[in-house]
Amino acid sequence: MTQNFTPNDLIKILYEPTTGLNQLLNAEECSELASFQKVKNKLEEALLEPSNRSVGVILAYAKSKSALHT
Amino acid sequence: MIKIHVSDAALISAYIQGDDKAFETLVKRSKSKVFTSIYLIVKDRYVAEDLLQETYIKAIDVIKSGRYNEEGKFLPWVARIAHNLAIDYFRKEKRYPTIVLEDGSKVFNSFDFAEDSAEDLQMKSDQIAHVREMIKKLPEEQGEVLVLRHYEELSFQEIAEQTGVSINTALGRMRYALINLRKMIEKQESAYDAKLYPK
Repeated sequence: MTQNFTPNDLIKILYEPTTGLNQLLNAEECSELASFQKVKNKLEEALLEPSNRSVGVILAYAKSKSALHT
Repeated sequence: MIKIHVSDAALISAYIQGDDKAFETLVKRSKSKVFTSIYLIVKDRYVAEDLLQETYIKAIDVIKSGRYNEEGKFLPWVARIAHNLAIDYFRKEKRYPTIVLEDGSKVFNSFDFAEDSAEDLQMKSDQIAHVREMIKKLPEEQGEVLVLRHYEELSFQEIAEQTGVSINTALGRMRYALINLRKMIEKQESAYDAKLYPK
């Protein structure tokens, strides 16, 4: 069975995959999807971590609010 | 050891009941994506730190006051708060422009964060920083969809509603963003190879 995917369908498959759909892709589409996946991985690697000080302030506030409500 | 994944909704319920650790888990799960999305909008690490704190404090207030009624995941909700705060910051910045020094640093940052600035410069030299720089170079509409989908984890349907375009337009913008990033990454990699293996 063949199915025609639009270029935008590949983006949908990349971010919001439906089970079994990528098995219907042809070789060219698979290669395009793989190259997008590579960029997606790079984006994941580029995640920035906030400072421990900021996280500490948030958690201290969360704790203080809990103490007020209990 | 078996790891059990507790849903965001269960963690929020536990926090409402007084379990601080539950909120800590939610922060751990979401902080880097929320922080990155703020940073990519305001383009200033120190402002992003302040806005991150403000975001979670707002989220805590909403949860603890019993006004939290989201059925979806925690991240897109908290990221939406962050997004709005970052946009508000931008509007205020337009009214009160920041004084930027010759070296690109801002007047206030140069006093308060002198020690971290060196660290920031170091960070800019690594490959990870390059990817962030590439995102900043994308056309505004593409960058917006990329941040909303990748870092804030909104669905394409939600992005379409939020930005007032069709799903197909949102998908198309995301596709062009990825294609442009791919080109920039390839260019960077070939430049790196040329430096390592000169002809």
